[in-house]
Amino acid sequence: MFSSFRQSMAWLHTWFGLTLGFILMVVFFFGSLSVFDREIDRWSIPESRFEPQVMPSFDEMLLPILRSVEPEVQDYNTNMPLLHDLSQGPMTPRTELPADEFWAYTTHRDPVLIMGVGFLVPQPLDPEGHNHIHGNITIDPRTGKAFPDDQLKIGSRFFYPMHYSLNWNWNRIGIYIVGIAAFIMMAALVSGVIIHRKRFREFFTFRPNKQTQRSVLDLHNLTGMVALPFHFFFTFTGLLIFASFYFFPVTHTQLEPLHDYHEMVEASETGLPHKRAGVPTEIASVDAMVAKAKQRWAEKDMAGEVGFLKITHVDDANSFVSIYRAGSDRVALVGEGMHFNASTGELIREEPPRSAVSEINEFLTGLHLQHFEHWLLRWLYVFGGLVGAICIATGFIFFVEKRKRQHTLQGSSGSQVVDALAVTTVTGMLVATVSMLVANRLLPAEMVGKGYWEQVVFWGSWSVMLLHAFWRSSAVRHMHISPAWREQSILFAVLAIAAVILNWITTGDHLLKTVFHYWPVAGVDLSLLVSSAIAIYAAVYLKKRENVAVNKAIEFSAQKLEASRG
Amino acid sequence: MPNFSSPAWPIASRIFASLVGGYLFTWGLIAITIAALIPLGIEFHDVEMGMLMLGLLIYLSLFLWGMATDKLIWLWLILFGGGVTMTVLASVLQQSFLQGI
Amino acid sequence: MVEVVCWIAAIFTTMMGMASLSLSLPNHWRQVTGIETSQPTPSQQNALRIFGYLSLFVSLVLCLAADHPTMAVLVWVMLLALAAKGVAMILTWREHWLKPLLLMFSRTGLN
Repeated sequence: MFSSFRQSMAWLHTWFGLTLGFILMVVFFFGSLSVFDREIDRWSIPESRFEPQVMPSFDEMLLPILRSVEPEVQDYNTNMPLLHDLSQGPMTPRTELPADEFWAYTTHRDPVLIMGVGFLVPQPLDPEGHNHIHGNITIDPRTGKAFPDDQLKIGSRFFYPMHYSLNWNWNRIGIYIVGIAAFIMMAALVSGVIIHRKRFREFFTFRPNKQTQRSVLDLHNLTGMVALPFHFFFTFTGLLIFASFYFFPVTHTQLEPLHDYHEMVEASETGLPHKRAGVPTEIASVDAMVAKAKQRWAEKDMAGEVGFLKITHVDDANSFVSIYRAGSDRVALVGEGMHFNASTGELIREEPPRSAVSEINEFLTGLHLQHFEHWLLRWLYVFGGLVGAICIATGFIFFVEKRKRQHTLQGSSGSQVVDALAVTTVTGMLVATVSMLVANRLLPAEMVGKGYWEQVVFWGSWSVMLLHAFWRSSAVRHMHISPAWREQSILFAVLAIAAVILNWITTGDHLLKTVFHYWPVAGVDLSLLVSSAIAIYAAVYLKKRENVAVNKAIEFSAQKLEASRG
Repeated sequence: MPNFSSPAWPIASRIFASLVGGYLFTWGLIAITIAALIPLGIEFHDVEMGMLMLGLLIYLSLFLWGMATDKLIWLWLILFGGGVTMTVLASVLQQSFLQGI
Repeated sequence: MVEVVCWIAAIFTTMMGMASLSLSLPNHWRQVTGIETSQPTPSQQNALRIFGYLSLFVSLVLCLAADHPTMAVLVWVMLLALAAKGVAMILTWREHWLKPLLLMFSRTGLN
């Protein structure tokens, strides 16, 4: 069917890239934002604008709070009927479920502390399953005061999930779509290198003054090649993070028996009880265990803070406390786990050094999840992500530029549709993102369901941008540049500046203040201003190019007229 | 009755075989390697993680090969045949191992 | 503070390395000389390459001096991308910035 290997790769690159590229745009852009998800959280929740804290006293502050947490109504309503065995009696009322698991998590970038409780379903349908109804809470670790439930952490709970699941949670379909898109990204990278391999001779070439088709291809190749290792490794590691649960769940389905057998062997080796004993006991001082763990880390020459703390089988004789070190100084995630008997405070197990395979895996997933503390590398990741976005976007524009003449002559609207979708996923996505930030500052803080309305604004404004892009796209048929590009750039620039000003008005935190006292917010504000300036420049430049295109288009229609006569 | 001589047919068959067949083959390979190496006493999570890393790269290679090859019949035979065989074998191996302990 | 100095030095040396690698390619050499027919001689090309790779190596060492090795490798790979993109932008809009580097390597000078 294909006359050469190279041709087959070109076909793959073009058509798979086109169909899944729109998803990849979203993944790359929100991935770049997720690098600073916690900072965006601070921006959107002004009460949480204070310095990161270490894990506070568990015995005095966290335990009483965890005891007061209730199972979430929604989780209970959805999952309780699925997990509970009705033949053993009616469902246990929501507020009477016993706690089975406590956890608390913090990072070097989190002023707030996230905690949660896993509640046990007393009469489960499947006694072997993970029978938990959850209840989560976010607190201010300085005072122990809880943040309101319905406050949306825009960075870590909306932009970040957008990156890997498109926030489409029905049957996890979003995760699978992103997975397929990521796989195709890897294929597109390999095929891209194959079809453009000759371009390595002019590796550093970008000629903005050539005709659009040529200069766009320059930029596509340049951005694809310079960040090739980044693109490949991030796509690969992104897939790897989800591989064992979603993409190749071999050991959770077909080989589940083998997996369970191994769990059993492991439980007997580690001495960490797999099940509750059914004998109630008290929790000993967790703070003492934390002190022991820290001392042990210091002895191993890796002194550190607690990143993750978990109590399994709460209030049971088999209960144990697991304390993990925050991995802010290296690539791998939390680790060096220490497990203590919860009622005696005795050390049961210290995790041994990792095996080579595990080291590699931790490095690969850690480099993607970036829990480390390294501002330069974070910004370099943002750069990599945005370069990837440029690469994909220029791919669309090249597609349009190469085919629009032919499409127009054939009366096909192909390139018009692609152009409109490109506008939606480039400038439209920017407008939606910044509209959400503006809405966050405009909607009153005490409003019920504020987070929900912020999401409505996000999706709503994105839909409007889609309609606008299609409405304006007829220009492409006449060989013009769609004015939607320019118009949405201007809209974005205005909204971005508005977001910065609104932040100032509603919180009193203006740049002159935050630059010296609070970098997370200053960083978001400055990025908004810089993006706004770039958007204005782009709009001015597009206006110039539109005028050139108009002249060319007049020539083209003269030719067309002649062709139809002749 | 679909029109098998239309130019869309071979391309659809190729994409299906490369994506789905490639996936099945990779699944089978991961499953059989895990099932074969665990009885030899190799650490479970090492095999699992190692095979997931390799598996992704193998799937990618199979997909690219599938998109490029001339021999569509071989593509179907190897990917689906091989995939199913390895998957079934993995289950058999697992069962015989778990029964033996 | 030491690590910030190392990073800045690393950024500079990677840029330098990428710039001299770009000059070893005839297309970009012509761009900087501004002469259609000029070409680096094989020995100039070699010298540019050696200097280029050497600079990249030095920048790796600088990264290693600043961070834990696992982290340093990531920083270095990302800096390579940044520098390559940076050099491409210089070649597009400010190619004369690379003239000093060119002069270092063209024994005959420019005429």
